[in-house]
Amino acid sequence: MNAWLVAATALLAGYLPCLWVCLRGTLADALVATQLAATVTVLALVLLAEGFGRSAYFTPAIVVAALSLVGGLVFVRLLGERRL
Amino acid sequence: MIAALLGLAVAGTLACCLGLLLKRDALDRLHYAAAAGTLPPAVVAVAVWLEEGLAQPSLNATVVALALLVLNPALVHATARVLRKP
Repeated sequence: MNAWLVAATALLAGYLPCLWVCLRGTLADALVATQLAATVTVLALVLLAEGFGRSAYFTPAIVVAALSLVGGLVFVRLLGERRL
Repeated sequence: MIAALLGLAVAGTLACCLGLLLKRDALDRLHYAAAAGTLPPAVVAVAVWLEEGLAQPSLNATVVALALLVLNPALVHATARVLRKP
């Protein structure tokens, strides 16, 4: 256990507000919450990669950072046609 | 020093999550979602550089921070355009 793993664990608490907004908010609120959850995911993956001391674990973080843009744009494109 | 930087990054991200929860309007929430992709990743990248020096993990963390710094605003902008539509 090191500071990196402790920080990654603490960062997981950031999912709770995002989950709450996704469940209780409007479609627009849920879209914003998923974007923030993706950012939290990327940061947690970076902290875990450094905590475990394996540089290969940075790859999922990079992939999630790129794919969160793609997925977010897909949602925005499809949901934009509806009234949010 | 590294623990302090990590604490700062985590606190900043959790503050953005708290702001997302407390705000009522989607556009106001978008501000906090955007903020989480700017400073915390950079602080984490600095912490990795202090820990590893010039090494592969440092470069990886820098790439991740730059990716978030560049890609997140594009997504936020696209989302804001859709949310702003009457």
